Amino acid sequence: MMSANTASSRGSGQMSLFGHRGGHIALGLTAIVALISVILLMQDMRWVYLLVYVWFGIIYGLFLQYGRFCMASAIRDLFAVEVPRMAVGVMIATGLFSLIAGLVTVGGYSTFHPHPLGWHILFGGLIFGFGIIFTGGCASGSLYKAGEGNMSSMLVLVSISFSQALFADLGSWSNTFAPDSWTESALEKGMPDVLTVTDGWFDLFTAGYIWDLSGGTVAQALETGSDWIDVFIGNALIGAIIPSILILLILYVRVYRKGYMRRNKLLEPTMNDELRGLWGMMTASKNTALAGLGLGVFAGLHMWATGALREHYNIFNFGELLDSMGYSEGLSIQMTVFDPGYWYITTQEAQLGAWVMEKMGMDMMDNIFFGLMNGIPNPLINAPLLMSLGIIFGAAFLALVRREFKWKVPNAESATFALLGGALMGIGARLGMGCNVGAFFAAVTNGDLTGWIFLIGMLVGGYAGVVAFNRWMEWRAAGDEFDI
Amino acid sequence: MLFQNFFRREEITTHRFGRQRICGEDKYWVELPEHGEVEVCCRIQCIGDICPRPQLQTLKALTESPVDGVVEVITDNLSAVETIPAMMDGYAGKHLCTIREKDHWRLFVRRESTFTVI
Repeated sequence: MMSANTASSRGSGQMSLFGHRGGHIALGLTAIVALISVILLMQDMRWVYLLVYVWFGIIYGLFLQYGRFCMASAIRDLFAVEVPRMAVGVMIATGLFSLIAGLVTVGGYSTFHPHPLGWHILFGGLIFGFGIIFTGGCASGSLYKAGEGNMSSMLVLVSISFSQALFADLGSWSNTFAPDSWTESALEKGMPDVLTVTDGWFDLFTAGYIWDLSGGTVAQALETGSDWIDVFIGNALIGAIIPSILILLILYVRVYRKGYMRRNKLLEPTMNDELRGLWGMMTASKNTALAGLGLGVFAGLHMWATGALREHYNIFNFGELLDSMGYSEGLSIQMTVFDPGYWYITTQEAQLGAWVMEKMGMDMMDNIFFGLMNGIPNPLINAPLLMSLGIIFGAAFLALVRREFKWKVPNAESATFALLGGALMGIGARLGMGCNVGAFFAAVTNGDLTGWIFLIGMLVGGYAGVVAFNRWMEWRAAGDEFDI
Repeated sequence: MLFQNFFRREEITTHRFGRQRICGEDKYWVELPEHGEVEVCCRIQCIGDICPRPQLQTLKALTESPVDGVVEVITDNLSAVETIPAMMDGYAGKHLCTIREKDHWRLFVRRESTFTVI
């Protein structure tokens, strides 16, 4: 007979948090990051703008790993095995972030810009949602899992980076897929020749389609004359909290309630029973709920910190600061770089892919996405990219401390799924103008309803992904004599 | 100790594609905290697998197990470690316990009479 007790005691020993090799490594790495931060500040205090991204990234990484917070998990667990805990955590984070974002907006520090409304949001979400089922993690989930030593997630990041860069810089062959109206509209914009806006599907999509669309927040639609009412009733309550509560109720009724009733042997539940059940669902995974709470609060604080720094340095974009510090290489022709000022994931990964491709001799600045809008700065001074590295670092720190860090080499199947799914995520993110964070989380919490459209797309794509994944598993199992 | 680890690692080595459920032929007994001796009728090896494979494999194994049959799931996927116990509520299975090994987890779940067959 095998004894599981022995194994249990070995695995969950009562060592202190840092009193082991992983803890020592985590502390050592933190000291290095802290030291680099201090050196940078001693060199030039303006690096604080970049360091805000880095350290908020680390905080995001800590919370993401703590709660295993992942949008892919939320959709996949819901459709594949009917577990709503992650979806609940996402909704809690959404509601809380909307309140903090409201304070930041009223305070005049918001850096958020609403997305233009169009079919691209739905299609982007759909492709992105399909991809995340096969990669096993969303854009932010792949970052924190990479921090846990998951090499499959690292492959996802590589794939997202290069697929986006390639998609944003599609060549002349792709022009045939764009309608003539896009070309005509793009020409009317009078963009500099260096951008070749009529050459490449994504340029035509951006200049000929996206720029003709409009978008806005609920607050902008309300315009009652009171910022507080517009922001907290419009953006937070109508734009985020009420939809989140509705989704929580749907999750409870359609998914959680059945098991709750059976567990508690409730045949004719009272309202109190239902409320207890609802609370039970929201607190079923305390780690996830706490992570949602922490992410919501810190995502808002991040926006406030960046907004305050922009005001302090009297800038609109980090590119201006970089230029004044003597780092003009890689800036867009507007002397800007990608600088959302809040939690964002995918665009900086596209910049990384483009930077590598530029180093390989390709011209990646002859398009709107990089050449006009985001630039391709050196990764060492790319603040949002360093935020992503911060997420990986924060997750690695906690995984090391909790003895959960493990180098995981993917098998052939996982690696293939990571690359293909990552490519779909990259294309979906560019079409939808962001990922589960930029296009959904940051959008809805700032009153931009396009985020909910992206979520609908992600849900449909995620559902299709789960069905396809199931089929794949059954097909593999059918040819496997060892399987039952 | 070195040889023990070596053989243990070999025991849980995953395969390139599939071949992860071993059920029916090699029943074995384990002693679980708070549950005493339990006969395991199926073991699923999911080392290196991404979600939702461990969860789906678990549901399939439970579906094909007899009532009161216990399934052992071996995984190093932290999401699966947390999702599988939560999953048991919805499908009326029973999560018996989770054992943390050095670099993976062993989860024991039981098919109840009310289990929702997938």
